Amino acid sequence: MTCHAPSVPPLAGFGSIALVGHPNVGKSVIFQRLTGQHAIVSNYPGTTVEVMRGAVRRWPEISLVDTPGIVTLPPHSEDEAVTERVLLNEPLHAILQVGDAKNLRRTLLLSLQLAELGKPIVLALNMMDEARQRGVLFDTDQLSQAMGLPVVPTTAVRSQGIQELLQALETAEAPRLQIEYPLEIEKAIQDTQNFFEKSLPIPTPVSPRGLALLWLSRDTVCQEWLTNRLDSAKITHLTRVRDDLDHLAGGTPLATRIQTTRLAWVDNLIPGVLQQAGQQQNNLTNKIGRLSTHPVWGILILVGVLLALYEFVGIFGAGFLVGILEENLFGQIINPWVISLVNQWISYPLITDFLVGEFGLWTMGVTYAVALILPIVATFFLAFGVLEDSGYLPRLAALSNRFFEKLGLNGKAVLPMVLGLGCVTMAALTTRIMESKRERILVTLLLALAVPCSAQLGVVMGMLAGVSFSAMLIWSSVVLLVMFAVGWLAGKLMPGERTQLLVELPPMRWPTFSNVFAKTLARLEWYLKEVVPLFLIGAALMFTLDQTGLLERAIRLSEPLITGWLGLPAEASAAFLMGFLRRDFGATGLFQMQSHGLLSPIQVVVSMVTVTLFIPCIASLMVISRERGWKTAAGMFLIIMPFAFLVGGLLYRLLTWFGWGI
Amino acid sequence: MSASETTTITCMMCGEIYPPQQIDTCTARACTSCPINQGCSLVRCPRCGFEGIDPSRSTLVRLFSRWGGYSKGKGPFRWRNRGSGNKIDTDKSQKQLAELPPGSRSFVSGFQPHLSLENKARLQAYGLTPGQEILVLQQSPVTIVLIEHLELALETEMAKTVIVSG
Repeated sequence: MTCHAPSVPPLAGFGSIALVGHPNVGKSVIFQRLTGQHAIVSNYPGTTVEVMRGAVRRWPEISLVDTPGIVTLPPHSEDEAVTERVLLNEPLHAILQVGDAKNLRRTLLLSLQLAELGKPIVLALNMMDEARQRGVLFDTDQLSQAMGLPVVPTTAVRSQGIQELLQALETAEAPRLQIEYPLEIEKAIQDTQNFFEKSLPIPTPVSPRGLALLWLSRDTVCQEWLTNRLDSAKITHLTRVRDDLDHLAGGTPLATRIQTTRLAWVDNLIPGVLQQAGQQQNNLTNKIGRLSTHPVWGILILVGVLLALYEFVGIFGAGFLVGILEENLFGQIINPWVISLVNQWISYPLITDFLVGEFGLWTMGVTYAVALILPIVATFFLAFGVLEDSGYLPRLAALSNRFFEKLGLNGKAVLPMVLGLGCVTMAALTTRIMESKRERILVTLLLALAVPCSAQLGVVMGMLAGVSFSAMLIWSSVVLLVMFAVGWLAGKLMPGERTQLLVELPPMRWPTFSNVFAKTLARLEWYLKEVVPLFLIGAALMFTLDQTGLLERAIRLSEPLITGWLGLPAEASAAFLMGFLRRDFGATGLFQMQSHGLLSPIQVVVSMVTVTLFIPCIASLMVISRERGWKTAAGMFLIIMPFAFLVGGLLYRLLTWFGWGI
Repeated sequence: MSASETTTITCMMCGEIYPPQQIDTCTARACTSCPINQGCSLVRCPRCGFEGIDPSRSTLVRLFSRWGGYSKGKGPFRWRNRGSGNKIDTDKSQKQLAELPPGSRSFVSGFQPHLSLENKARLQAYGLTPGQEILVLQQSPVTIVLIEHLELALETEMAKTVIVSG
């Protein structure tokens, strides 16, 4: 064993390592292996756009920053822009790129781009097990030599290669890689590079050459970064250099020419290192994967999945678990104890009411959040995690693309819509995966309008089933029709182009239950931290309204609307108002009315339709307001509220006219 | 079913081989008086008058074949030919990716000029770059191709903008 004296000092006691790579390469698993923290292992940008950090276990002063998956620089989505911002703004010690060992060409293209940034870089070729299974063989050392950077084969899910990775990171240096671009481009790069060296404070976060390449490729994040640091005269000069070059090219944009040069270099390299390209396998999971996008089989599989979801979340979660928690645990044990405790210690009725009264923080806020929503949302997240981990969701997007095309969206919208069946609040966050702002707003609108969350769905289904099958049919057709009509109209009215579907289909795999569990726990944690406080605020709000008598007044004021227009009994007014706080409460209040025989079949259907179309709960409204801006949220509120009532009233008249249910 | 295909029908009764176009001028007594004469997918043998079938005229068959991948008598469920991808597109002319049948291998050669820069960058980012070999897996409901070991799903509209050649 030779004594190793590193020429570069081991990682200094500060700085970060950026974890970069394509989506679906196992970045998050590597993150977890290196930091020991349970990160969300997810294929899907909506949940990792919050840049995650963790201290590297071996070097606690170094933090590892997990970035959103990037397809290439320049960035094409909000997520990718975040990745680049990390690269430009973090005090980076090194870049750790994680790549899919089976897809060398694509991986190396990104490696090249990252290497040109001039920071120490290590390439982890992950999922080696899958590559080997498919017969992909390459020479890692040769690759390493040719690229001028360390290449470490890993199989992160089995913790293979991690030690070697840490070793490589410890001694990582800036790669000596520099490829030659066509003459005139090379000259422009040199000029721009020199300009940066003179005008920007040293050291620049990435090498001046790297910055020059980004600038010349019209990278917007780089542009933004430079504009913040250079005066306008310098920017003008730089822009002129770039534009001049673009004109010279005669047709082909500069960015394309640069990329083409890189491609050629990679294509030249690969035959030398790739020994065998491998082939697809024909096992069961692959077969299921193929069938899931079949126009006919795919639909059947989808129906199967939905049924399973219904059984697990609806029957087990919403029925059984909620029953135990709400009635038994909270209803019989915890709540009476808390109530008596509060009454023992506090003698001011106002405060006791605030805590454990009808709209009490505990009795309404916490009980609702924990006893009712939590089990439903937990079962849903679990089921969703299984679907996610298996790789089914992108296939679902491909299958449903034509449906969403008509709504001015693409198949990716199916993800938030399905998630909305669990919890609209969480789904509103997931709209981030839509590529454009226009689409994000459209999906959010549809979510807020027509997707009933699982809390509500359970009660709605129960009530409708209690009437007749045709009631169920009417409800679902009206809701679907509204969704379609509004979606179509909004799609036409909103300015901007629809983003066409372009999505990677990762190989279907058996879900790893530790992954799914970790994801579910992380989501539940999020839920407890973000949503429960919102329900507490809601309870406090209702309490205030009730105490000040405003609640009563609001109920009275809305009665004419409820009785006259919707044809419902006056008591329903309270249920609707409550529906704003607790989305299921609107339904539950009506459920109680039904069980007391106070509602006719028509009234049940009308109220269920109205309650479904009604605005989502306060928690989701707040999240939407935060994600899309309060003006957009307010706009949606103003559109949805009257619209829900409008449809309800019209339905009432239509059903009465047809004499249905009588 | 492209227009260049010349479908012929072999009469089950007398063995006569005839093109189905004859239905337009069918003077068989049974057909001239029938109200759906023009749009009917049933034809009659000009020699013996026995009924034959022109599947290209039947909406149901066309639907089924599109969904089942039925083509040239290959059986209904070979909708997606993953095979060994031996069907190399030897036709050196340029075609749209959307035109390639499932199971064919080809090389990306370029993009339609009207493709936006944004979308072109997206396609290239996923590996659809000039010179890249691809295997077409599916064309309905979306186009799915295999690039190295990556399966990519893209809308038919987009697939029309990718030019491929053998």
